[in-house]
Amino acid sequence: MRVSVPTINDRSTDFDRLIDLWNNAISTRTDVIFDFSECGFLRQNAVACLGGLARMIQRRGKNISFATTTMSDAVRMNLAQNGFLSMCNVGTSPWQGNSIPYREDQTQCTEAVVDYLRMQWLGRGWVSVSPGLRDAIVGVVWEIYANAFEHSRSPVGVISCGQFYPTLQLLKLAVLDCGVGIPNTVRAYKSSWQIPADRAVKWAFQRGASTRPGPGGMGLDVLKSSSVRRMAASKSTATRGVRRSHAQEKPTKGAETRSRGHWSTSRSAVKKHHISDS
Amino acid sequence: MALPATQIHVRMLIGENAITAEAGETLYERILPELKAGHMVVLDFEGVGVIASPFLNVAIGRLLQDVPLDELNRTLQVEHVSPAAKQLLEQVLDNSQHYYVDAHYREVLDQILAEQAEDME
Repeated sequence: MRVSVPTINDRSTDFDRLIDLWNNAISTRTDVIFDFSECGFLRQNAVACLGGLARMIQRRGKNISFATTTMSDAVRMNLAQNGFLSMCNVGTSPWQGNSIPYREDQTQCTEAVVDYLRMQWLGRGWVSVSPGLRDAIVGVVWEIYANAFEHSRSPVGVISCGQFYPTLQLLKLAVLDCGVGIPNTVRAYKSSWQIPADRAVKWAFQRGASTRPGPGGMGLDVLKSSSVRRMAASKSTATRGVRRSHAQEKPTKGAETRSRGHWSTSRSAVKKHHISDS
Repeated sequence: MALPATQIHVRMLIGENAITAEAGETLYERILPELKAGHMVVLDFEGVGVIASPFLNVAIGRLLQDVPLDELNRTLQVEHVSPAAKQLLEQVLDNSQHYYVDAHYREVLDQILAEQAEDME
């Protein structure tokens, strides 16, 4: 089956396109060839998703390939530079540029992820940030990984990819799992499959809301809170994206709900200015 | 009379990054006996880089199960933490206090689910 990959940026409508791409390909009964004839560019969220999709298809016993001859120079260079093609055993080794390396973590490797966030994301000189604030931001983002490994039941682990956009002065990171999604985790915990997806996500983002015993439930609240933003606001603005859940639901009366998408992505963006934690 | 103080160098105990619940458990097991013995505890975070809430929830938040907050504020001190980490610790303590003391806390959290259920009826 040939699957056309469109141009995908990171606006809300682009996430809908990712869901369509996913749903189009995931249920294939044949091997998949990803065709990039219609693709002008793939942002970091799309690269992470494409990687997750490829791994999920492979898990189902099908082969995947990437029609590199259909890639524009921009797409090919981006996927080569960030290591995506190399990870898929295609093309050249990655190199340092404006990409934050594509990475797959099948199991939780805490120190490796922390080093990745510190060195490959915040430590490349694109942002001037004090060590204290850098570590605070790394701690917040690391919790995305921790949440994904603990709750998502993602069969392919966690996939990350990022990009620095020098013209826009934005630094973005996408973190993706291919798991059951926050809504289903909440529904299972509450033993109630009628909970609408948006309510389940709102519940999960409340401080203290946890599916584990003991005090917790801080990670998503910390992520969405403005505390780190205030720390960074001394000279300019640091902005962070909000984790998106794309488990779009069609609740059916008395029956198990079905997801059109069973993955979520998070992104963080930090503007390039001097940021201090004074 | 000043309480005897025990200084714990967190980096020596759990390493450079204080982020996992497992590392928090190690520190918790070190702190609690000291507090129960009536000692003041000083946590020195010098050399510790990343600090995250899973670690703090277990290492410090869980102390509120056995030690009232006002007593913990008097007997537990932290040193060499960034303002951001200090702020996170305050949030963890606030959250843990709700968990252990406020019987209705989790009911309040669940209201957001109940509201939608009422809307649908």
